[in-house]
Amino acid sequence: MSPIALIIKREVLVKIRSKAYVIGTLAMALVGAGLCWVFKLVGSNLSGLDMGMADSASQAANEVLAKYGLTEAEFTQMVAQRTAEIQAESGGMDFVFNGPGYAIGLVTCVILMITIIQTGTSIAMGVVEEKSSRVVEILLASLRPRQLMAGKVLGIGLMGLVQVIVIVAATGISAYATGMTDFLFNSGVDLTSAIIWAVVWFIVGYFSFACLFAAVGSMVAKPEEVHNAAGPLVIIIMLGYFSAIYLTVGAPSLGGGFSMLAEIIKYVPLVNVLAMSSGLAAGTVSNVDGFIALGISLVFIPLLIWLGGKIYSYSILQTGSKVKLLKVFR
Amino acid sequence: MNLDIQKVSKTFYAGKTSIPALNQVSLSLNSGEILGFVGANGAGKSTLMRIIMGVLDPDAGNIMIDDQPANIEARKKIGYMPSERGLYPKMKVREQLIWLGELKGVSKTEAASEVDELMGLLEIDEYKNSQLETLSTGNAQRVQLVAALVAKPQMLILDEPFSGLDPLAVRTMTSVLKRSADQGVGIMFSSHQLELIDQMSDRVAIIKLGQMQIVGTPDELRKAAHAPLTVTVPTPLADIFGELIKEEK
Repeated sequence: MSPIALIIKREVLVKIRSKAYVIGTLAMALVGAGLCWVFKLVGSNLSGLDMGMADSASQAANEVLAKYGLTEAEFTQMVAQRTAEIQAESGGMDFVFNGPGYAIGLVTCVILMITIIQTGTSIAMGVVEEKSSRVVEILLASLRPRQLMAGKVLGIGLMGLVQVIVIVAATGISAYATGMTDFLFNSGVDLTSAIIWAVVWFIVGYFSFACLFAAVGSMVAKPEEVHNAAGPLVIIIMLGYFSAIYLTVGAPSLGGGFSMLAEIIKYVPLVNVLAMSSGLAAGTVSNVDGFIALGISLVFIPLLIWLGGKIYSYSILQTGSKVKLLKVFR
Repeated sequence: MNLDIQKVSKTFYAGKTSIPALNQVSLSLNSGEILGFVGANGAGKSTLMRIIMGVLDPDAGNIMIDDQPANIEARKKIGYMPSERGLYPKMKVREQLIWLGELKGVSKTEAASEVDELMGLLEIDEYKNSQLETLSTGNAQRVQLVAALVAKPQMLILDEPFSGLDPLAVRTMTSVLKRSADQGVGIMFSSHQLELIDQMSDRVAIIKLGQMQIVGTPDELRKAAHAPLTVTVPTPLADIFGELIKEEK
């Protein structure tokens, strides 16, 4: 077995034997599945209420129209005229809030965000464990630093993917059992495209961040220092999360200064991972934009891997205080 | 397997200050030979051993193994025990040692067989399924030696393998090392215990402030120092070279 395969094997076994990993995965799968049943329960309770409320609303509307001496047709014409005037004032742009698309986009974004942060932190903690226990010195006598980093990234990434599959499968089965899949398929959202884009952006996002998290782990001396050191990466991920909310809603179509920011963020590697995965899932970002952003990110991944590898190779044997980034490049 | 260290130099930097750790150090180690490596703290012993193992790169000079530049494949045939002990604390001892053997290119079955034999020899077989962090320092150090020996190396580079051990543990480890040397394994080990160096070593190398001072058999070193010979007991090396290996401030 190659050295990288042996490192992957060890990482996989460590995760499988980790109670935190197993319980965490099952818990998230249960939450996802449980939410489907909660929505079904809430939905069926509300449907009876909806019918009664609709009758009351119709009666109230007729009373208002009668008070102002308007017929229903005259009122409808007035609304259409005013809508056209508003659209003309806003540059003729349409904004239609797609509820199902928003839900799918948001769920995709949240799952990806949690997985990338969790697996990234796992990598960083594993690296600092090897550094603080000094086992890294024995390992580096048998393989190169980049081989060690590659094994960790691939092994932990594999287990991250397994976690996502378990959660999505549990949620999907529950959604099917509760009839939510019918609702989604009839909502006009392209579910197949959404799932494919989510998987693609998970892979791109994971490999974009994984080596940087490994680099962060190599720069600190103790596991307690990892969360602080990983702060900048988490900020980038959160920036992507807020962009995702914006793009998923389709808010750029409203125009204004934020629309230009959203357009730029779509193509910025690292930040665009969550934004694009959710925007594409929601259908508010076009496939053309998706492919352009993907192409840019794929060009950047080797650079990010090189950067992470360089920092890791220099820092992994440094003991004492946190390694300063400038020293790596001197 | 023969090791040839050719004029190796290494400098570390702390801010704008440069710290020369090794200056044109040359040394060799032959099959079946035990080479004692002596020097004060900070003299450059660990740095040289790390360079031999490829953990650090030299600024100048060459590391030759069997007349070829050292590479990863050649280094897999060398067992290494660093001065800063460390293995995975939460991994079970036997499983970890087998995995380390596989990392060196040995099959899982072979590694398992070797681990079981070595743990028996070093009297730590009761800890096979224990996590490393539960072991005492002495037992953890024996585990570390098994890690160095598991892949049946052709050479051993051991950085202070006896530090912190009780006399019984020292005796057990020295017998295992002598057995390896008798089987043709070249051994380079560093220690501050000059009596051990004297007893075990075929040759001794003394380093001070990154420069090799003297290399030779214990008797050659005594002759070089014109040390008086007693009738029954050789002059302890500590008496002759104590000043040379005293830590510089």
